[in-house]
Amino acid sequence: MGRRSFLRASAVLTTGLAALAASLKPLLEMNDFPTMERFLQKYYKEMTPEEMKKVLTRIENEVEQQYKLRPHVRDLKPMDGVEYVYCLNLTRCIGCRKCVHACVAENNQSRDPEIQYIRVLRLPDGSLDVDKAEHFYAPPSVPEKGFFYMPVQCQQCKYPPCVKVCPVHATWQEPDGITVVDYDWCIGCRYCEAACPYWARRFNFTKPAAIPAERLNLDMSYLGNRPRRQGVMEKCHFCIQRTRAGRYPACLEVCPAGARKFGNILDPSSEVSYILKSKRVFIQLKEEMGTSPRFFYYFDV
Amino acid sequence: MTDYAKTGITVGVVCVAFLALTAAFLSDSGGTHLHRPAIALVDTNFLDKSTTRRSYADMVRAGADLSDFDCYVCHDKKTPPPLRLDTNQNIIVAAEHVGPTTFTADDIGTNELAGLIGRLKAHSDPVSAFLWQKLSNPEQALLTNYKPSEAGLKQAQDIVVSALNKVVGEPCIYEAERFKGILPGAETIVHLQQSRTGPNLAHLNRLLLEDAYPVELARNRHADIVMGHGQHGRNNNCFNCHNETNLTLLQPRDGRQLTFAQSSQLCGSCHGPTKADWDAGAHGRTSGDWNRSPGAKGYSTFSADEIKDWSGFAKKLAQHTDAVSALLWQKLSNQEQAMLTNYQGPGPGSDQVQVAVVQVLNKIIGGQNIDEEKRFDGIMLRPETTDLRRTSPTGTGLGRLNRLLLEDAYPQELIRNIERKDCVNCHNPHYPHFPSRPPAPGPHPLREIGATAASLTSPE
Repeated sequence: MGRRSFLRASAVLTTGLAALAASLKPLLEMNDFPTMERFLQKYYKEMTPEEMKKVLTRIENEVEQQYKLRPHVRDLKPMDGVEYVYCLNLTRCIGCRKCVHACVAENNQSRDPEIQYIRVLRLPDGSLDVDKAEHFYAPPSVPEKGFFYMPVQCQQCKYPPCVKVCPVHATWQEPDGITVVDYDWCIGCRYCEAACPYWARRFNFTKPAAIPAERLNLDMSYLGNRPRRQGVMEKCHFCIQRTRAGRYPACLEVCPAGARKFGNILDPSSEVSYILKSKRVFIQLKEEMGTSPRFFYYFDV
Repeated sequence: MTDYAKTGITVGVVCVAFLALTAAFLSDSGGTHLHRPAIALVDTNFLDKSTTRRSYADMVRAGADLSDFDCYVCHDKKTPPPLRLDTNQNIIVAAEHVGPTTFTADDIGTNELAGLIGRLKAHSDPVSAFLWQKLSNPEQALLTNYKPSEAGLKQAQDIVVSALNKVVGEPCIYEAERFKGILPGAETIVHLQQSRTGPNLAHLNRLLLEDAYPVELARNRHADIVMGHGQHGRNNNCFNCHNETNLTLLQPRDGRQLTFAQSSQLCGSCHGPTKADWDAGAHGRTSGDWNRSPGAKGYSTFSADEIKDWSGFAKKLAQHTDAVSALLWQKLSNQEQAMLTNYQGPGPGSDQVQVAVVQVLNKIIGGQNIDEEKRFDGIMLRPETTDLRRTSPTGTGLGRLNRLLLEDAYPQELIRNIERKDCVNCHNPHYPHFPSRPPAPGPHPLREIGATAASLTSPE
């Protein structure tokens, strides 16, 4: 190789390397490198109870390191003979958005940007056309005359399209009907977000802003409300950390109008069985999509 | 130009272009990353789950002192109370049930006085600011330097009562901005619509003040009756529901005699479909457990969102005069105790106190049984707690019992779940459809008052 060629090749190589280094610069700002333990963690369904115990301890340690508070992280399993159903009374809902905020508080969502699982749609009376829905209504008081309100969250479909499209099986449907996400397995491709007809999935575009320690909900679940990382998908899981312990979801408890009802559809004496039997249950949202939601809207008549 | 040179130039151009793109990306020159304004943290009171009032039935079930509800202190057992109707055939509520319009020192307890003075001193809410400016400079100075002592107490009481009564005697004090976020009772809304002037004005002003200070000021006992049962106005006769010969009983149309604790059966005697929904758990607010099978009930630890009155809670702990507060106090480190003693309410620097308190609460829930002899004497335990403590639970049940005991020990400070609610927990029995549209954003569509105020209201 001649001197000229050598210099030219060296210049090209140096420029290329510099460009490569510059493009990799954002990696230097990353401070959430997975630990070896997390990197080598097995798939949720393949973990033995001992391995899961170690993982839960690891999560508790991570949270404690970040928030100086030791959480109680559990991996509650589905109960036999239980399939969850949610019913929402559109006659009662007053559009106050208490459910939205109770959900954020319960599930340790990012506060900046704030991730909210529930969207409350305001619809004009006499119409069920969601194209006419307004998300960002902000009147001085609710409810407003001439409108009704329809909160929308994950519908926990029986045939969930989001599960079908996940290339790594990081999201799946549990036997009790809850579609869950393993935040440690999600690769952040957002296919599920695109597949969901209800816009129920939320993506952590940025590193979730630290929740003030005094607002952190320490009652955590592996598939539920443990803190998430940047680049993973999350969604409503019917407050899995509460419901699998036999308790009502946070959005239901806070509803001042008693519009939300939740329970086991396989139990004929549950309130949801009563509602589906005796009320005018009018929709599963976007029924025509064939997703068969476990979330029912009904009216008092 | 040789092929070799051409390749070199192409690679060079590509590298330069790549570098330029990298620079553009890093400098964010396109300005594509929009920063949305942060959503402020929600006030924990907004998420309060326990805002329905405690009904007479709850008090009966909990074995509370009901001596204050004896109708026959005033009424004669042998004589049914007479009913008086106006020209429109609407019932005229007896003056005794309207109550005094002025405040007396008895309306403010000693502990509540300190809280009220604290709010006036801070005058951070519009109503307190309004009251504060009604005080003269020496009065303001006296309240600012108020320290609980016998002499100071009387003087401070007089100042506060006279300020309240001065406001009661003024034209209507209601302004939307001033009372924003305050949940009015049914009576307040009825009077707001009907009588912003005239003889009921003082009564309205008092009701507004009671709504603004639900913990600090006692509500008029037996004196908050507004009649509006049914939109047709034909169901306003007291004895449609009350038994005229025995005022301690209720009577549905079928002639049964029901106690106040059975009031839901009375409501159900007319509102059958709603009663059926309610019996099935499909009507009204619910909290607690969807899984009602025995032994299935779990518990969860506290989060800071579940403490609705930080200032009051911190104060109780710092004073630790009651046995439960003493237990919590001794679990805190010296440093945490010092922080709590100097705690000035939520604000900058208060996080550490809140974290410490939540940690102590959760340590207690997950620890040994705190249900020791005498520790919970004098505390009104709800039936769920008394039922559970009888079973001497262990494991998860013990955690649940500890939590329930703590919730019962601090009814004003901690959010508690009430599992089963009667009609009157949410509806004002005399005006059940009102208020349907309170003015604050995110309100309860029905009457909504705190537990202390609720325990002071008359039986339904």
